[in-house]
Amino acid sequence: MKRSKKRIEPRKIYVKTKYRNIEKILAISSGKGGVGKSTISGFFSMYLAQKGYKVGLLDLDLYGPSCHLVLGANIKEYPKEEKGVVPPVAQGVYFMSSVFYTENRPLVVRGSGLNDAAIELLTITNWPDLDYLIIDMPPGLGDILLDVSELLPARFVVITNQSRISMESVNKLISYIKDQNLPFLGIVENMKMIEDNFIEMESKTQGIFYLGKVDFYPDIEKYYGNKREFSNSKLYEDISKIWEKLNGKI
Amino acid sequence: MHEWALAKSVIDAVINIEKEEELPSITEVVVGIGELQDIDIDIFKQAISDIKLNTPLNKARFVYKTIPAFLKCNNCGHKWPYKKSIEHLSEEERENIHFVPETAHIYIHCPVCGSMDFEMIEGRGVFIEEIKKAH
Repeated sequence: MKRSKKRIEPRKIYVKTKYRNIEKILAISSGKGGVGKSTISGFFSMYLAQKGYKVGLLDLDLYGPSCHLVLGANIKEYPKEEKGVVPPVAQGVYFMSSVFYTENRPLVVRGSGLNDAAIELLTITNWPDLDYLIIDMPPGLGDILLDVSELLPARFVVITNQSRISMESVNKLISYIKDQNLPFLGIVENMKMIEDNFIEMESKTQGIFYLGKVDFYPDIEKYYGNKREFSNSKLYEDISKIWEKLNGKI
Repeated sequence: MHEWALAKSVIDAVINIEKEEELPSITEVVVGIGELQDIDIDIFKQAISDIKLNTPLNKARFVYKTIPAFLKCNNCGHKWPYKKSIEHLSEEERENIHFVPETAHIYIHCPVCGSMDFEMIEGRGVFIEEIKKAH
């Protein structure tokens, strides 16, 4: 009899096989916090759902989850269980987030704990057959970025605002994506307040695809959890133009 | 019932790490079940039995070993059994830890220094402890 006694953690192996069947996973990322990854992830998911696609949204910003606000999701109730956890639907989007299990309290953990929590969510969530899975990534470069790039066939969409400070950090993420040869769909300029072409030019210089801009909308909160208002908004038009370019790339 | 997803992760992992031609020779898989996640062992066993049926592991015996959970404070170094902390937790807090064990960091503090900065040094999650083959 042969024995193999090495302890094996099954979840990472499982996640790799489980998610390789979801063809279109978009990781909405940025090197910088506060540039609007969660709003873009949330509204982009709502947009795709309204276009008739079956969309999932996974909030992996475990230190500061906020997609539930954009979708207006009810986080007071546990997701149902059926051979795993069934993501509840909000605004037509299948949604999963750590907030269902944290009572919206702060999760203060070190990197290894962050990895474990993210992999647990990826393991236990039973997504239906999706056309798109949108992942709201945490800001910066770190544990979750490494997990997503190693375990999932994700394609990266990078969000920045028009400031040079933001782009300085975003460039570091882009550098990582290029170095690792990860699928990179392009860059979105969010919360645009003044007319300039700094991000567009910077994209050209670096050979990055510029997917377009989303203007700064001071009243954006009125679209949270309100797909009807959202679908009649200028924000919807901005997202729609980005989708046209993105769809061509996908 | 998210025990099913964890059970599926065990079966899929064994199938993926072992060579295809060796899978039918697997006679026993020892599964370690960490105490921290408070997994319903009957549901987990049933899930394993059902999932393995249509796989090359259908004849393998699955043996289950409960692993006691221990926590260690990163601030003062104190080490303590998770059992001591669980007494103070509500039903809902235990349920949250059941789904995502890291939520323990929200509810549990080091009994010596009060820090939330601790590590789960043993007994978190589900592991494959041993794979035995006939030849």
